[in-house]
Amino acid sequence: MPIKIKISLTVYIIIASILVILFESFFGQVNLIYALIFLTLLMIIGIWIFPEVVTKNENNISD
Amino acid sequence: MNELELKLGNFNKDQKEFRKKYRDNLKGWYNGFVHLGMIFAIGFTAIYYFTSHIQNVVWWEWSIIPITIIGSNLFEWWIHRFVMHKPRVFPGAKAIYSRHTLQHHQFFTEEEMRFAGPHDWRVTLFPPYALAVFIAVLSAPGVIILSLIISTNVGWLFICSTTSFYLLYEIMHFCCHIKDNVIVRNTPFINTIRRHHAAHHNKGIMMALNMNLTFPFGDWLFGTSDLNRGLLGHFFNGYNTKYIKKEILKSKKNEI
Repeated sequence: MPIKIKISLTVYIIIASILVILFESFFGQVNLIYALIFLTLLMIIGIWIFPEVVTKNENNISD
Repeated sequence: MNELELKLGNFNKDQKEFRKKYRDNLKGWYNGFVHLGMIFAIGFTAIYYFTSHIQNVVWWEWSIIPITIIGSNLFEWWIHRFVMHKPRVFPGAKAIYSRHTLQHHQFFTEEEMRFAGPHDWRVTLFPPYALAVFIAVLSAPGVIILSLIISTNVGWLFICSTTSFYLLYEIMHFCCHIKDNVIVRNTPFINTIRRHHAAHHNKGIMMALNMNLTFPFGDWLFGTSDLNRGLLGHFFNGYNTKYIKKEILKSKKNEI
């Protein structure tokens, strides 16, 4: 996945998580914030540390 | 590299070369169990969070579950037929096409559908970020819209259903590429989808037939199945080859 998309997706997830956490802390269930933080971390880890299949030539090994 | 490959595989030459090249081109570490574990950790944590908001469900609110499952099945059929097998221009579409048609279908053929081990799971399981996109980008807006126009329970039940369906897709597709055993051979739906998907990996029909990977509902509905049976027959067909359409059998014989 191109690095620009990784950054965009990470920023989107962080912003969405912050909004949901704020919503939960003011109007919802505060005890769910830990689950949300855990979920956000897992998603970001999934974006960044997961190995890619690299393109070495034009024979379509890309991702 | 030979220790990474099946000892008695039914490969053609191109397939064997591709499988070796795919493994060689995998950048950095890869662990199939970590991959699978991460997908289910994200999925189950998300479902835990979503279900925590559901309370005092009214009877009619439950109907969003079958509606979402049918919708997801048709979405699965559509994306497989029109995105995974056709190069499109919208963002990410080319990567999906490349990953599926040009990699997955070269790695597995109808004659040899098996992983050699957990190091090969990468070619079948979606990357974990796909689930993040599926939840945060594709499903979350549905929660907001359904919560506003129907009820919050319907919104949360909707995203529980889409996320569960995603995990089901991963499991069913995974089961299509493991070695045959007494469990997958005799478990309803799993045995059906194993035959259904193996037939799809035939190069002669892969662009047009057997697009479902969970339940062959979309294929039955749109006439893109290789079987000539009714809906229940499709669902519980198992490994039965008696109902394969004659023209497909003929074309396969001609290939041989």
